[in-house]
Amino acid sequence: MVLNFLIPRLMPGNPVSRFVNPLMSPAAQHQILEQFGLTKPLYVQFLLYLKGVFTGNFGLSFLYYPTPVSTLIVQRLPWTLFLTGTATVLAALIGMVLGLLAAWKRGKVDSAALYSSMALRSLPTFWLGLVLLILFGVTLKVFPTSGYFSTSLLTSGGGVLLFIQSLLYHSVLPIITLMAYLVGGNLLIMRASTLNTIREDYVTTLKAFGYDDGKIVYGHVLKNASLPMLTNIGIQMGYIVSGAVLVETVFSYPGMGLLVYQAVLARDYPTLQGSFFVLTLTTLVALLVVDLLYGLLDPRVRR
Amino acid sequence: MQSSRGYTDLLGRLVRDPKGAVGLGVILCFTILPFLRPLITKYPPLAVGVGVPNEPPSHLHPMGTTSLGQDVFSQFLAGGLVPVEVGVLTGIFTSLLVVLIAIPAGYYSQRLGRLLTLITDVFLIIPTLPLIILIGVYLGPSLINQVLVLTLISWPFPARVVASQVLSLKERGFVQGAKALGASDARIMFGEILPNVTNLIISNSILVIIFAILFQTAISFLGLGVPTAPGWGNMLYYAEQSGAIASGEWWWVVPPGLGILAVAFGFSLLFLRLEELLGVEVR
Repeated sequence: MVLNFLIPRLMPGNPVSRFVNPLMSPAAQHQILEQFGLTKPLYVQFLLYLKGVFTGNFGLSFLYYPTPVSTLIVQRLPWTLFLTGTATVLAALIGMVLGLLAAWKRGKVDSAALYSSMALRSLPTFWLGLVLLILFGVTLKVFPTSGYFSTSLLTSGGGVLLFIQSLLYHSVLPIITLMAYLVGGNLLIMRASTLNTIREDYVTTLKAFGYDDGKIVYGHVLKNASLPMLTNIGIQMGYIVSGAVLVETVFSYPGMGLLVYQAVLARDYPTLQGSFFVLTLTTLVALLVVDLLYGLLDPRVRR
Repeated sequence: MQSSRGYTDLLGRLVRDPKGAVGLGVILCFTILPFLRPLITKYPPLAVGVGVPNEPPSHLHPMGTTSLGQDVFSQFLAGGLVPVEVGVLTGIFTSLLVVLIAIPAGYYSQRLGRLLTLITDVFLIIPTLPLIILIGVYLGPSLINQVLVLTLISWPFPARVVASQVLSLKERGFVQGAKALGASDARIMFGEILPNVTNLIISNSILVIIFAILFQTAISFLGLGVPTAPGWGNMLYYAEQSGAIASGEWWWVVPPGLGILAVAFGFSLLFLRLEELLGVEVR
């Protein structure tokens, strides 16, 4: 939290230079600084910030003056949660199935899966987004190139169903872009843990009793082998937020990532502090959910 | 324990396998190409107006031209050095930090080891890219600052792995023996323990290099890199800024990304081969 306060303030460049005109009288300049609370000593600014954190009041954004930062975050956070949440869950499911298949089939399928997941992890996220945009957005014109829903719906009215359809339609490319890297990692982890699981005695026993492969894999191996992957999802959180910044910038998707990026460029301290705090909090909650899921899947850790 | 001869031998075994040979080959190729560029193409990478602006690939310009009429092929050839340089330097700096921090931490106390775990946990939660951007903006745009920022972000994870390894090595016979013979702490840490965690540090540093290459290009793409450095990330930034995406100029966008992909994949192959050779499980 202290870091959250200090880092933006250490940045060079004056945040109010966009409001303060050098031609203004010194008194007028001072008045604007005072309005933002920037004339108070640093420790008073810090105490005010602490008070803000606990009351959910992060001050007014410099960039979108005079919108409060909390309003901005409330507007933007759901879109980022929607993008990252969908991408995380889909990537987990796809990685799980592919990793399981790779480990179970061995041989050519396995090495193909290994190398393609390594390639997915070497792929620069933002570049994948750019290429998808050019291919599907510009050349083939199948998917929209920016925004999160068609603004034409606002004027033409349209039903809730049309709105949802438009939302999903706009999120396809960003979600695929975010997923690529995650699928690669999940596949690798799932493959390794499946290889470990199928060596266990109970799998051999089931085979000896003549159960068919499908029943063994989906009934027994899947659940046990997916535990390490769940841990991996927790580790991926840092990447997911970074990925959101890049993907939202590429697709001009109005989420937290784009907000942070714009706030950095504009030296918007209050927005940066608020966003950092909320992103960190969200990651913590997500980690907690992962932990709870772990307990649900593995009775051994519940105790 | 491996002597320096052991490591020359390792290089031989590394390239005898297709994974190691291809990986190392790709990396060396993109590191040398920037120097061979003047022999391959007559256009300097940043020279403006050497061709018609926004032209698709032709025999004159194999990868087309930018909106300023620059030669994309020339930029592509020159663009690999910056990401590889930043990546490798970050790998080296991180390894040094890991040696200086993780070995004493694991050797002296469990408490310091636990502190490392705490730091890595904090780094797991903090949004990585926004943090890199913020520190980067604070330090100012230069390649060495990019290396410093990326090092600052990437050292805790390998440090945690190495410290826990040191903790278990500490109880082994050869360390206890050296202690009984009256060896100093520094002698034990760097003479006895270090050679036993070198493999772990090397393979971890490759993972750091991949991370650094991807993040260096990402920062540059966001326009927060070094504007004058001829890197692939900057190429993509200028392409996006001048509307190459909206007008579908794929020839300007595809090559730099493929370059990043090739180099990062090269390092992954190298990592895979090293893991086999050194017999370490990093994760």
